[in-house]
Amino acid sequence: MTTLAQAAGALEADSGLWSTASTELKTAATAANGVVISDSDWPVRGTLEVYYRDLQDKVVGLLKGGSTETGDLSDYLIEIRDTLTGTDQAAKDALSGLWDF
Amino acid sequence: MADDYLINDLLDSLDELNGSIDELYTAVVDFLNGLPWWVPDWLVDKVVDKWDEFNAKVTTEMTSFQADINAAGKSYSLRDAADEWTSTISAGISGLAGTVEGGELAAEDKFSGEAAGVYKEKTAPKQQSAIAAVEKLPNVIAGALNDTADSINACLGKYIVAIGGLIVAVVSTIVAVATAATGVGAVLGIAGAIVGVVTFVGAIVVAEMDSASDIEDIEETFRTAQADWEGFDRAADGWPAAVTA
Repeated sequence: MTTLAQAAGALEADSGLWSTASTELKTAATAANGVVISDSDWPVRGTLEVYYRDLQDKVVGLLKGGSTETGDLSDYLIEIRDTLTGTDQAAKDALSGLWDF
Repeated sequence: MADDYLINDLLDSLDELNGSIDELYTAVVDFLNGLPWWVPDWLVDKVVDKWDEFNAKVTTEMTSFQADINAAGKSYSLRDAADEWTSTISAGISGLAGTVEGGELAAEDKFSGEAAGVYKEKTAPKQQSAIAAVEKLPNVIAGALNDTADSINACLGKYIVAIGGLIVAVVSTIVAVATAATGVGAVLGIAGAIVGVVTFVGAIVVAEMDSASDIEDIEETFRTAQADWEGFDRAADGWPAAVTA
């Protein structure tokens, strides 16, 4: 039988993991966005600079998106914890069948 | 900037080549000035024409070659960028998927219910998959950048070998002109230098074909990574949503 404290602690622990992921993804996004290669540094033949910038944009976009989503997930789990440990009975009842412990 | 040495070697080789061409010019002038009176004018004209032909050809090809060098790319800059992708970006998120991997999440074992089930079976795994997928991309980019740097260096190395061949041809011509007893020997010697220029141009073409082939392969690496959405939300071309309203 999971106690309220254990349930709240589990939600908080998971939230912490997602929060860490969010922070690291955001840091990586900033760093990835900063790796600028001058056009004159690429071989003129081919269009490597275009392919590079496209892939860089994709990776930066994914890292930013990942940071946002994992951050939202972290916040969401904390909201659940706060509801479960709060005094708003109606809000607690609303979680019945959704987050049982 | 460890790759700088190749550019320096290339510039040194070009200096050596220019010095050899200057020596050849001096040898031709000395040869013409030292010709005996009985050598016919038409033979002297042949030597001068051959020299002009060589000079025009080498000037044209060296102008074109200088443009090739400028267009080769800077391998040291690309390696610096590759290092950023691995040592900063990849290292920063490396192992992140393992941190949030299933089983590590305490909440997975403590809850039941519809939302908890969605979290355990869909939300968390999708986020984990996306993190695992994005972890790989910085190394893909770094690999492509290092491959490009390798290709540039290989091309510069071939350029240096080609210049070396041309220097040998020019130096041989200097010897031939200096030891020529008549205009015929000098004409043949300078003709050898022209052949050396043609051989040089052929070597440059081969180097650039190899480089173009390398670049096509690297472009394919970029294209493949660009088109790959495995682990992400393919429909949205982005990161999977974690929390839906």
